[in-house]
Amino acid sequence: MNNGVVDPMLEIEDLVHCYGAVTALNHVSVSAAKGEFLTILGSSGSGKTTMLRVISGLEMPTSVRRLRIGGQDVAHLPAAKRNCTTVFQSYALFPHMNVVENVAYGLKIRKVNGPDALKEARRALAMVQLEGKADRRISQLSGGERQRVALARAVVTQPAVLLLDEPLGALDERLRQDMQIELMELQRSLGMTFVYITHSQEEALTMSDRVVLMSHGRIVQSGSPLDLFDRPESRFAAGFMGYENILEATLVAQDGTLGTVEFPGGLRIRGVVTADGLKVGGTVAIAIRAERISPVSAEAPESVEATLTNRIYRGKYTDVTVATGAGPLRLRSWHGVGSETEEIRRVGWNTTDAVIFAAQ
Amino acid sequence: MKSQHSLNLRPISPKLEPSYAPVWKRLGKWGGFAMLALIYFPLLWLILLSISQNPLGGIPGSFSLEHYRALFSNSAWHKPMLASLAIGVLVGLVCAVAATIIGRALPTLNSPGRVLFMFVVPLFVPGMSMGAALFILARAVLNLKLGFWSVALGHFVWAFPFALLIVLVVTVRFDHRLVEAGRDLGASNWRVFWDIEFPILMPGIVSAALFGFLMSFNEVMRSIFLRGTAETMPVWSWIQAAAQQSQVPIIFSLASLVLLVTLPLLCGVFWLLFARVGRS
Repeated sequence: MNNGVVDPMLEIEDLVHCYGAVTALNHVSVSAAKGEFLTILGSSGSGKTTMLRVISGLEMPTSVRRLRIGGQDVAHLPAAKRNCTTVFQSYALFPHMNVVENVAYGLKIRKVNGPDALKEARRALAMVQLEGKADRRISQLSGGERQRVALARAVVTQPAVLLLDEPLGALDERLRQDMQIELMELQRSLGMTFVYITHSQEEALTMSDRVVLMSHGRIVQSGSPLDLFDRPESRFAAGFMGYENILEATLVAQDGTLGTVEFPGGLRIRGVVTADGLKVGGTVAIAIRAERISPVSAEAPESVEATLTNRIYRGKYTDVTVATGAGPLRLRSWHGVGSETEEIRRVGWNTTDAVIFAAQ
Repeated sequence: MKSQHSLNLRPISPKLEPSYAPVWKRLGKWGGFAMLALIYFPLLWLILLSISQNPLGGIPGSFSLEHYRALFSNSAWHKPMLASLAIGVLVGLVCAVAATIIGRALPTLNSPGRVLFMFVVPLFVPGMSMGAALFILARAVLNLKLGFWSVALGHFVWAFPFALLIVLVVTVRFDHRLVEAGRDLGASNWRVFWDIEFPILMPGIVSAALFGFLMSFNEVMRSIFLRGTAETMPVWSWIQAAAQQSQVPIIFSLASLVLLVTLPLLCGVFWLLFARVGRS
């Protein structure tokens, strides 16, 4: 699926992992290039955390054809022998060591002598703006600071791959957004390969070079954030990436990637076909984001007649529901836009904003 | 006006119910002081009598250290004291090691409650029964000669549940994700245990050792059954006191010394267990 990555730091081929009768990872293959920010996106139970634990070696896979980190075959190596470190969701900082001792621990294990290890650890702390708190106890730190210590402790040993397990999950909204930017900058400046686990599509889209979307132990889609956001290839991907309008219709024509679907009332809509192997005449799904739909007046190329059914004010924007020949559609108008309060007779969108894929 | 009262709601009494009358709070306060006095007054009195000329008179007065001088010039208590110290140290160490091994394994069981209950029951088995049972086992069933070893064994059986409970305070709270973090950072299982798990469990392990020592050092009931002809310090003191010999005043001095050593030790246990562990 992701073959052809140049200079791979992480290579996984045909990974299977079972917990008893439950298959957590079902023939998964992923790879990440040197310096790439790869995000594994999925809801809980999708297998993303299992994947991380298998990479780090905290879990030994049921079977795998190839598992390499930094070019080294690690399939049978224990966690301690692998050239990768993890930033845990719980941070897992050692409570009996102070901040700098925590950061220096990985170096101490690698037999770096005491003063050098401390100097190196302080440099890592400076990188996350915590050099002033090097001698604090862990219990004296805030959640955001603990997060940074965990990050410094993991990067200080310069692993080939850094694994991050929902590291921002426990932080509040504001701090999370700041940390997203900081993480990206840190990753760029270190040139390190990051494998980032999250259930938040916003985090995935903001930070990643590439996103792997998982569901039920399988990879559903992988690609650039833009690909996932605008070109979902399946109903699951569209739903997960936040498409509000997913409608079923019949595919009546396909010319390259341009498809036309027909609704039971005879209404026809065009869109971009993202999935392979759709049959003309078969049932497909077409999806459009609410914020890409807006009221239009004239006979715009991609538009349908609409009747307003509901309008909910949500602060920054207003959610509007209209009835159309395609079924009920949700659209979102930003607060302050002229059309916010006016009567809606037609709604329209760009052809490229509608995507067509298999119904199931 | 009348219709408003048709529901016939009773007004809320301005008086508090008897259960919450202020007298209970006062009684609790003064009752508490009385209890504390009952606990500490005899101990303080003992120390005062031990430095009085005529301790058997019951009233402290004309203070002198003559009984302490007599105690230190008398060597009769050295052997029992040494035996008690040695058995106490041994029991403390064995308790700490055994409680650590079992206390780390216990929380990983599926239903630790039942197993824990079985471990803790000896706390409530009367010392007489346990002493007699061990006596029968060693003497009649196994036909062994009793001595310090059987005293130590009896003390270990007695002290172990306490040690286990103390170690469980720290092992139950131990976050096993720290072990994974250690491995992830490259530490071998051996290093992870000594660098991470042991230091975090340490206050509980040391407390278990100190408590095991104290339980053994003070034990009389089981020792009586299991001692054969061996004498531990409490047994020796008890025999001396019961015999009403002229030795009695020096028993007061000895008891005072033991108290002054064990009380700080006990405070140390609680400090380790609650202040140190609570802080991390």
